[in-house]
Amino acid sequence: MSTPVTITTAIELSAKQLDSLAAQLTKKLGKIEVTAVVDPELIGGLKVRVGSREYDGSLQHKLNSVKQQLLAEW
Amino acid sequence: MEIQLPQILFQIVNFSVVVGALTYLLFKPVQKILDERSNKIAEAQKAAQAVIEEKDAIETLKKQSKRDAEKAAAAILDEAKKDADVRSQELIQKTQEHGKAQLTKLQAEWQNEKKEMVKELKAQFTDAVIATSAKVLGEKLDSKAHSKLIDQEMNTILKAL
Repeated sequence: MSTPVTITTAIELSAKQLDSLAAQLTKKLGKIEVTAVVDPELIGGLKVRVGSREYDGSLQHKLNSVKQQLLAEW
Repeated sequence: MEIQLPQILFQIVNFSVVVGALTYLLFKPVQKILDERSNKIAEAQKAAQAVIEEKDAIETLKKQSKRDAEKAAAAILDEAKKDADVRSQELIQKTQEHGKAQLTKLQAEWQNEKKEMVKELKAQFTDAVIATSAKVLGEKLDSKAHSKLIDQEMNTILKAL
C-alpha cells in the first residue's frame, strides 16, 4: 500500500527535480504516491505532507518564525 | 401772799388725777395705737426687706442662669465648630484619596493603553518587515537559488522523517 505524499513548492518543479525528491522519499518511506502542488505563498523551499503529518521547510514558515521571535523579544 | 398747802395739795391731787386719767384714757390707747402702728410699719419693713432680698436672690439666680446658659452655648458652639473642622478635614482627605485613586487608575489605564499601542506598532512593524523581506526574497530568488533551497530543506525533512 502506497503512502500518499504531497510536495508543495513555490515554483513548479521540473520532472527531474520531482523524481529526485520522490526517490529520496521512497528511500525513507518505502512505496509512496507523490502529488506536486505549487503555492507561490511559500516564497521558497518546500512543504512535505506525509499522511497526516506535515513538514514545513518553506521560507514563509521561517519568516513567520522570525516574526514570532521578534514579537516575543520585544 | 401766803403759800396755802391744802390748795397746793389739792392741785397736786387734781393734777395727778388728770395725769392719771389722761394716762389711762389717752396716753395708753394712743401708745397702743402708736405701738400697733409701729409694729405694722416694722412688719411692712420686714416684708419689704424680704421682698428685696428675694428680688436680689432672683437677680443673682438670673445672672447665674444667664452665665450658665452663655457657658453652655459657648461649649455647644465650640463643639459644633470642632465637629465641623473634623468633618471638613475628613471630606478634604476623602476627596484627596478619591482623586489619588482616580489618578492612579487613569495612569494604570494609560500605561496599559500605551503597552497595547506599542505592541500593536511592533506587530505592524514586524509585519511590514516580514512582508518586505518576503517580497524581496521572492523577487531575488532565481531557479538556481530555489533548487538549492529545496534540496537543503529536503535534507532537513528527511532527517526528521
